[in-house]
Amino acid sequence: MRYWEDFETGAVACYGAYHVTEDEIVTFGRAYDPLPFHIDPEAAKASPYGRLTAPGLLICAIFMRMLVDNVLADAASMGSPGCDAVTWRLPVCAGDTLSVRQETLSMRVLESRPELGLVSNRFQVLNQTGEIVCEIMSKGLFGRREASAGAVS
Amino acid sequence: MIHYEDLEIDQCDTFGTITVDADEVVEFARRYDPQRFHLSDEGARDTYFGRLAASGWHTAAMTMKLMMTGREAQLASLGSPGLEDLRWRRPVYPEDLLRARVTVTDKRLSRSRPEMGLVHFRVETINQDDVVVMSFTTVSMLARRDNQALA
Repeated sequence: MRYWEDFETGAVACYGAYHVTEDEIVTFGRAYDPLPFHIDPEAAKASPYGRLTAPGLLICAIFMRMLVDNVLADAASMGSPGCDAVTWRLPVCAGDTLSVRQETLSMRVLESRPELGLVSNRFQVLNQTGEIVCEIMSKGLFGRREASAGAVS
Repeated sequence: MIHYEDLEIDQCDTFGTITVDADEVVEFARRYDPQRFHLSDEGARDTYFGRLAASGWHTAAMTMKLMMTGREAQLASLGSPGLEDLRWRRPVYPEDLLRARVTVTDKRLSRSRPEMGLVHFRVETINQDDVVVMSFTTVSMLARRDNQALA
């Protein structure tokens, strides 16, 4: 189990390989972001993007899946208060394969809840050619090891 | 179509409601955020959430749906460069009734792309108890009305 103490400021980790399909783009687009260039391959040709592109929040959701699978699944994750910034830099299209580069920027213990620590990260979502398609500055809450051992109540 | 010219600074619209569906919460989480507090009541019991709660990204997606489909006509959106100050303030639970309060905080024409303008929104997702559960700011690229290519 990975606790707050197991993160390290300055540490960089790269993980994930998520293949994006047209079906996933259209399904997510129809459910949550039904713009023509997210749901209709023909209409997308006439859009400024020239082809079907993934909704920005689908890119975030795919990022989250890679984060859970590679980091949070085996961590004392307590959720997240939010993201300072989410920047969609380049379109993501069907056939792209996405991965994550995670850089830990800072860490601190919560004053109000000393059994928890906050970890601030810069996440970059990369495509198969190494381009940054999305950047997410976010914070995660993690349990502290001594709290789990009963040292902090 | 609602174009750049159709929105005014300080305009505030509320869209919804939408009912949070337990099956959809679990389905979204299985696919994108399979942490135990997003998968079952049992898994959430001894956590901050206390019972099954929606992924924050699912709440953001439901809010996007309200923003994109809540107006009387389709928004002539050309996408967005991103979000700022995304805050997951309170848990979102199955059967919650969510609405989106969307305020236009600024707008200006794009210098590099005269066919569109940039509209700044402050977005708040509010539940049935009038509690803001999530908030963020965003910029939308909206087509101008005289842009025939998108008419």
